[in-house]
Amino acid sequence: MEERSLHPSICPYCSVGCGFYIELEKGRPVGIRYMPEHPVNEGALCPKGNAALEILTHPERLTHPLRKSEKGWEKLSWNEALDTLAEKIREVRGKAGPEALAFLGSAKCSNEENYLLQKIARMLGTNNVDNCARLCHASTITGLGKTLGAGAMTNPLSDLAHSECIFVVGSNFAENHPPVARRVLQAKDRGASLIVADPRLTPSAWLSDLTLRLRPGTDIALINGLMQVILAEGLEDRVFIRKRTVGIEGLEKALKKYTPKTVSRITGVPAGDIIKAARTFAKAETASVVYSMGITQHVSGTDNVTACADLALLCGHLGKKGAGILPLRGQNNVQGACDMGVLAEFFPGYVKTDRAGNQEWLKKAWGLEKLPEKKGLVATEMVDAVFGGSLKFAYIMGRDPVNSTPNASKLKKALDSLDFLVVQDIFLTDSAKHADLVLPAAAWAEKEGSFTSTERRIQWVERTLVSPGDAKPDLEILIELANRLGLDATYKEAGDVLAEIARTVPAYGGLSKERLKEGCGLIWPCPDALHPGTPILHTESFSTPNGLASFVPVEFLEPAEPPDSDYPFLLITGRTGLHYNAGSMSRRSEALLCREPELYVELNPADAEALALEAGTIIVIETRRGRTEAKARLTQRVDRGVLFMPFHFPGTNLLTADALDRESKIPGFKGSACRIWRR
Amino acid sequence: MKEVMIRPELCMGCRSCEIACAVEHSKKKELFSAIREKPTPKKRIYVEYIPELAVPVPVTCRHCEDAPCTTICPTGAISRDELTRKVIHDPEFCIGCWACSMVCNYGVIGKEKEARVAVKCDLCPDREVPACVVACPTNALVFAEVEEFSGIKRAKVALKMAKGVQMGAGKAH
Amino acid sequence: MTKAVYVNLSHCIACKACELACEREYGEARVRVEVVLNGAGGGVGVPVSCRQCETPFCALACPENALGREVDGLKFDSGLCSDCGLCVLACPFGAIELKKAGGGSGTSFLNLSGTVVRCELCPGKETPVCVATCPAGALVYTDCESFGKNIRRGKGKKCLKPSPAPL
Repeated sequence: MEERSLHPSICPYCSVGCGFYIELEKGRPVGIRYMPEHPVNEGALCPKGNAALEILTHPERLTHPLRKSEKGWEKLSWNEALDTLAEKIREVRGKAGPEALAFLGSAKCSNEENYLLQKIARMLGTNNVDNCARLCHASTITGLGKTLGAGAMTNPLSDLAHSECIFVVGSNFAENHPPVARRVLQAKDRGASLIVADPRLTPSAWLSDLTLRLRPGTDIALINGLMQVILAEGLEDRVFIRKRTVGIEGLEKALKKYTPKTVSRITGVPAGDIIKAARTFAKAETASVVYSMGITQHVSGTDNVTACADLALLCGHLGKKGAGILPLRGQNNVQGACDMGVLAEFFPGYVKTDRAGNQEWLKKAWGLEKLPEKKGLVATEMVDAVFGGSLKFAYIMGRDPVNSTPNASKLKKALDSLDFLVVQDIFLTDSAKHADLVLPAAAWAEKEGSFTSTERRIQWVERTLVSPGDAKPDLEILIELANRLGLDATYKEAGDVLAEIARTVPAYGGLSKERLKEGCGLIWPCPDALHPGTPILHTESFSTPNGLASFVPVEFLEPAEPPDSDYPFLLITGRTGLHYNAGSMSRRSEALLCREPELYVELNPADAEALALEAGTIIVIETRRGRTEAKARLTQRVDRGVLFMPFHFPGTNLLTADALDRESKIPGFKGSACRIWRR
Repeated sequence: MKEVMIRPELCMGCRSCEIACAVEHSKKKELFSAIREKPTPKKRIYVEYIPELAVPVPVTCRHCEDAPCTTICPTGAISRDELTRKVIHDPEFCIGCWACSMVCNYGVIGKEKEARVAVKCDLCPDREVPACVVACPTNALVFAEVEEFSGIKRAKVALKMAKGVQMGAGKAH
Repeated sequence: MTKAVYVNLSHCIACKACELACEREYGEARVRVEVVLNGAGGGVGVPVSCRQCETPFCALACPENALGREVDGLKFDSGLCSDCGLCVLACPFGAIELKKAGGGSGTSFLNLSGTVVRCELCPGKETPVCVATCPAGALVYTDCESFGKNIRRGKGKKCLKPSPAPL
């Protein structure tokens, strides 16, 4: 028996932050051992977690810096690559000003790397930094920010097991965050009721006690309807409302017209079910609202989130064990990337960039004389800026916008029109193919750093493996680049950056590498070195200036792109259990790919019959923006007139709409009118 | 068909039904010899104590009309007797795969340890009324048809309601 | 007490983590998740693997006694196996497969031995990997008595929840 050793690690896929051990033999990963003592997943791993090691040793891993030339990709040394890059940045900055630069952070990279990326950008004089949260949960930050004061999950996932009622809207947690299903089922075993509102009958809906199958995009009407019933029947928590909130009068007035009958007409949910759901939610001692991208990825994303917050506030289901709002985030460090200020409108720690005092604070913290004052461009605005000629250079770290951004063909054109595009990734992704320079990065177990999961738990991942070829940890690349740009990055390792983060971001104040390595992480806010972390937010007061939460009434508006006679179907997108986001990792994993090998589209058998389509037919789906071919799956899971496509394969996002939510600038992925025919 | 109906609110958790069941399924059908018998006689009714609510609940085979155990059994060892409508189990054909115990919604298919086959309630074929029902001191178990059982409940409710009504017959105010 | 992998069918989310875990550990999945859908869009996932039968048909069918049931479970002796495949035919759950020794396909006179591929409950591990990985906690490594007890408890709780006054 050879020497085998176990190394604790955190799953690189979704935001749940499951722990497991990597089993090493002679420095090579040979297996996974489960970690039953981990507080988040209790040892369990979903299919993606089980396949996590496959991508590490994948033959397509990038091993050398690459430059695009006429002859194809040309290998470079690190020195050449970084010199070229620094030169290019200086050139563009000198000619077109710092506003012509854009930096896209990665929700797959550690807090330290993201922090350093945005620091480089801001030291260069631009606020054009953003991360993929813009595409998944930007509306959570704005929506929960204006009601509760903090755009993050209020309770840890394990709290779900103590809820008496769980209201899930726009989240297919059973497939997308399987360990959440564990907690939900634990609650159900204790007698809790599960209400799932989704246009699609997902495996999450299979588990539910009450399924509300609403028309896509009518979430606000449904939630307003629930609140109307609660108010009409006097089920609201009056003490909570009086003591801890403001603005109930406005809400009461706005809700008047959302009677069950009206709401039923808008949403297609039977009025009886609306009343039943409202009563169950309001009467429960503790209840949680769980939502995800079905709520956020809409043109009305911020309003959708606000409605969810109003619902929880109305019944006082906040600030205690088992009661809270749980937005299930996407990537393993999307929470962290946002906390680190990889957002155009926020400095680290959600400090608004456009307030004068904030500038002074950060200048002092960073020892700078000047900081960019202009609000930066968000990822979704950058495309137009490229066509407008004001954006010339983009640095993309660990992200595949070609497959993840709506209206992808427009984006591809934008990438090609840039003066210089550099992509730093572990694979030659579809976006990297448009780059002028590609930098090979180390994958998750090949570097150290802290990651913040959806429940605000910051966990340290150790370096267990050696990167293939010349691939380097993102942090090293950034430090070397910063030094070449004369920005004086004196960090030796990730721990030094974390120490600076602790000095800059108050919620991370008590963190250090040593502390994080000890247990299974800490939950922010953790302001000082002795603080045990804060699993439940808003227990005494809300994070608003006056400590009170506000009710913000929102109105239902018809979806931006309703089906019409030209485009009679409504396309919604989502994730499947076996793939992950843009698929650059999961589509390279043999075990996952063989079980879900290709793009498909779900449609109702009745619709298929009307169009004479059979299961397995290749059909063409066309929207106003593009067309894609996919294999038809006939299923009752989707209602008549609705199509569903997963977005893990190239093609889906050629179709999706790029209209933006006015506050958070999140695109309305969900809900594009389309037409279909047999190929 | 008559079944063992349960009124959990009357159960006091004495487990007389469990003992009576095991004795009834012993060779001699007599308590003192049953204790020493090999294989150990096995009960087919279970009194479950629910700690959160601090109450006992007797659970036994419901002889479901559309029984999942009869559907899953790969050998036909568990089947429905079309004459009596009972769900019966023939140990001769049982291969001990425990698929029946996995799909049973009530968890009432047990295991005969020595013979390694399933055991379940057979409604005491040798008796008029099953042993558990006879043994129950509080009438928490009732051997009745579904309609009959409802009838018993209705009569009790009627009695309670009638208490508030003046019935005449010479009662003076 | 003979333990086996039990499925709490109402908990399965059909995510196939068990399949992937088994495949990762042994190269091929010995548990398969079948998804049963009803006409209305609802569904249930059913992981199927060896039931560890007390009187296994596969062993009864084996003409060479390569498969046999011992006190602590089913045993297989590849030296005796003649690669006839009767065990595969006999298994009522479709939970057994025969892999040709040496990776060849088809029975040959020169290569008469096969390997039975079935769930062996991960010998050497405290919990089988499928059970350890199940995100929903639907798979349980237990014996039929304790599994039944849990279900009875749940049912008992349910029938009491809106506690009726004694009649």
